[in-house]
Amino acid sequence: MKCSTVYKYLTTEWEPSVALDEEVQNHLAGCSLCRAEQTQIEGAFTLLSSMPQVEPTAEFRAGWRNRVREEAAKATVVPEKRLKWNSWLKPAYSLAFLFIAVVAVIGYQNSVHAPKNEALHMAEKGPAVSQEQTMVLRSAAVDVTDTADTALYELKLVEVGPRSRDVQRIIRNFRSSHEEGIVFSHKAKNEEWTLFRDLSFEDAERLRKELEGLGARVEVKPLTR
Amino acid sequence: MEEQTLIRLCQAGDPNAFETLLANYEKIIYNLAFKYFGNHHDASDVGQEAMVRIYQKIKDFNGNSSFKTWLYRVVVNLCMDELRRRKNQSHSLDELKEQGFEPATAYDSPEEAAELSEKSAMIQEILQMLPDEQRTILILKDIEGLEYTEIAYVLGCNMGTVKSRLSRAREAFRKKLATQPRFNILAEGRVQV
Ligand SMILES: [Zn+2]
Repeated sequence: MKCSTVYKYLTTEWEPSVALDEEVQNHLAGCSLCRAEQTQIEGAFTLLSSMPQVEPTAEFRAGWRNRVREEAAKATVVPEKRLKWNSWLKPAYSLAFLFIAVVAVIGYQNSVHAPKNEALHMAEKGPAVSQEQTMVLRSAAVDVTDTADTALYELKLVEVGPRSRDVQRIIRNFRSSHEEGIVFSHKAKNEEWTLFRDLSFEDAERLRKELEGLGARVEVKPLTR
Repeated sequence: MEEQTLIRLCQAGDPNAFETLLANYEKIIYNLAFKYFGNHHDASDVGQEAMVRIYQKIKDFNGNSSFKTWLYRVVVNLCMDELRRRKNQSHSLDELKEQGFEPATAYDSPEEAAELSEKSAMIQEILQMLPDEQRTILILKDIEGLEYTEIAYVLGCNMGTVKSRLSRAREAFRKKLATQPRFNILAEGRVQV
């Protein structure tokens, strides 16, 4: 038996739980190279197969149930009952976040050749700093294809207003309909950002109007980079 | 209630039956997402998304595979979509890094970070380095222990493809493993041929 045949057998057919083919066993007894190979394969396999399970977070357990109920409610046109800050809030923050949250949406719009929907957006959330009924939303656009042409603006939700649950729902829907993406952390600033795709200025404007429609107080100001 | 009865109720749109049925699989689904993304934050987000997707698609489950294998198929496809979507955004990462941002390790607390042993953390690290396709096959075969036929169903390819992908993935995994100085320490006490 050739080393290459043994190697192929070990990498495609064999698993540590499977008894070795007798011919292969004989080869291994006399070939230290293949033996070393087998030891390595076995080591890697054992590592992978012994990987422990993790416990799902409480956020996940509650979150999927809420979302499925919302889906069911949509289908039966029953008004939504449970509204929660779920997927976009970390459990440690969620209580405090009922009072204050920081969200920023940053995107860029490509000029000329790039399709409009290539806009990229980020949302930021930070830990609570006080118990005030205040939420900050920042929205900005950055043209990454031409940094000289950068435009940024900040959308700040100064007051949640009387319908905070609806405000929460709007923001959550906004995030889910714009596909929450990669999470980044900025340790020095104690902030977290999430990257979005397919978000336009119009979307951010629409969010502002929706929030104002609920009686929230919103400030918009341009930022420079 | 029997699983088949629950499935039929789900297919008729009963959300309570869905919660009962999927409560049995939530850990599997969460862990599958965790293997792909390596952190609780993403596992929770993608896992929740998967549940919604399963709820919407359960009508399509026709019993050609076991329910569990069908779930794997839905969740794996969702994870792969998510990875592809993120890859498309990668050109913006440099910009974020310039601003001082780093991809979050996303452990919500030191306790969570400690939950993963050094060994798991290392495997997770290596898995993250592999191409999505190779990561998928290792997760399904060597970690989750699915059969070749089940994997072929999950990935929608034939057994030959599964086998050749698996041997490439295992080789890639071993190569990465060999570059880990920690592996030698971990390997001690294991060698008992
Ligand atoms: Zn040999």
